Amino acid sequence: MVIDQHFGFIAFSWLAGIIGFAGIGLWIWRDRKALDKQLDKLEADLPADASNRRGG
Amino acid sequence: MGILDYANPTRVMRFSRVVKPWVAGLGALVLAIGLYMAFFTAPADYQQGETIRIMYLHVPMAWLGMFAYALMALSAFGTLVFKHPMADVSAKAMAPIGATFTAICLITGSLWGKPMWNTWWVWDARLTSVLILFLVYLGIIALWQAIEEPIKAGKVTAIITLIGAINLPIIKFSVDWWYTLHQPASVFRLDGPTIYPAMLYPLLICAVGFSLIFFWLHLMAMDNELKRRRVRALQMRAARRAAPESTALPAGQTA
Amino acid sequence: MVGGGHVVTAQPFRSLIARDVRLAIRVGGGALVGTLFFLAVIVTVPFGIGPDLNLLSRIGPAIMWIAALLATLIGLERLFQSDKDDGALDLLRLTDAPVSVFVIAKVIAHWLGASLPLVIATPLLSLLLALEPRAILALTATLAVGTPALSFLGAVGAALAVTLRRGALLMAVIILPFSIPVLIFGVAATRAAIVEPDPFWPPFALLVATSLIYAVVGTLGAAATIKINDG
Repeated sequence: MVIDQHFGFIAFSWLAGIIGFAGIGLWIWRDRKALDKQLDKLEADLPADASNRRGG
Repeated sequence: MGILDYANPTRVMRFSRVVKPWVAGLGALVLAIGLYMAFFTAPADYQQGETIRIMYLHVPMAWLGMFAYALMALSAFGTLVFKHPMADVSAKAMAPIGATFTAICLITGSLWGKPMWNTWWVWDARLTSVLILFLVYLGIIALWQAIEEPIKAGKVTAIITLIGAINLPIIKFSVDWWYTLHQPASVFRLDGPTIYPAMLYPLLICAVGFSLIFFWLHLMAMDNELKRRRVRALQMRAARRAAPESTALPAGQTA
Repeated sequence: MVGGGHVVTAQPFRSLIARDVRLAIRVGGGALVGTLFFLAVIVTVPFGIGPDLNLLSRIGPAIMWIAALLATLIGLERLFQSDKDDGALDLLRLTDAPVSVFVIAKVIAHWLGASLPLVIATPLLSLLLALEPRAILALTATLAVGTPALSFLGAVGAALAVTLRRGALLMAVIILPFSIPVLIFGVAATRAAIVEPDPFWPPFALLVATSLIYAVVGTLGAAATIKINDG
């Protein structure tokens, strides 16, 4: 690949792609962490007879 | 072993736990190969020069944005017609991911349009219908947020999703029906692709790589949604244990 | 009241339409408010754009179409509100009454009471924007043919509003993207009457097709949404 006068457009495009992927990935990841924390707390509070465990 | 076996959340999460690392790893590998080819082995375009490198991101994002909506519409159909229990989980997980891909498509398209067409935006049929697709995505996401009860949310968003699905054939065929600025189809054509093989193969490999990443993101988002529902169920159970009389639901409402 | 039961006869359908039109036209019924809003927008625009008659006559059709769009969609929010309040919706959900027919009746009544006055007012208001006679004719024709599409689309928004009890603004935002094709075809057809080489019939035909498609999809979508119980 040659660096021509349109390099800025190419660079910003791929940057937009990276930011987009990183953004959605991070959002999903942070959501997962928060939910895991909530689940741990709620399942610890369950009385001992709770028979169904979370899957996965 | 059929799709109904995946009606069980536990099974879905187990499937995703096994499959996720493979999908992520394979996706990263394929994408790395595709990107290398896109930048270093594929030629610059005869007319567009190096700007053609944007195509290897813009086009897969367009394909995936539409593909994600199509899957969402399929899930919506599964919710309304077959009442498949995991269909709305799949649909809800899909929406933000599809919206992100469509946004990347619009942004990269704009950045590609400025050097090539000398304009950041033009109201031609293809761009307008993709923008509408993006707005419909946002509306669906807003709708998911607005309705508290998951089953009801699933049904309502399913209806809106199916209505919006009319847009997909319009996007696909808009460049054929209206001869305006955006170039006509060069890959998915009845007569076969018109693009050079040296560019077609990196494009397809990048598309496969991005698709695998999409699949991985979707699996993670579905896991999150299943966990979210379990949190909600446990919270309601805890509330009922805490004050059994005072949490009687109003007449006509189920959990 | 809706003619309930399994048999769909013409009489309950017609009487529902008649009742709704009468209610809407009454003062405070809300139907003519849409036309007033239409008038208000059209009167305000020249103050924003300036008195250049040439400019006004060129963008006039688009302005009137946008005004009609907003007036129609805003007015449709409460399409099913009175039926929710008097229990008619619950009755519909409990019996086997065809909700689609009910939706069609309500939409027709709304169009007669709210959109038709708007279409009739269009030639008069076009004079405020210095439109030529050919443009006025094209504009009125496209509005007459395109406002049904907006009405059926708005029915879906109204069904959402009544089933979800959520913000009306959210419903308008969700429905708005689907109104864009109607706007595009309507303005394109009208512009053809002003700018010589532009064809009139292709966008007009697409507008008719859009109204027909939205009539079917809107009815089914609104009916399906209404049937989603609160429980």
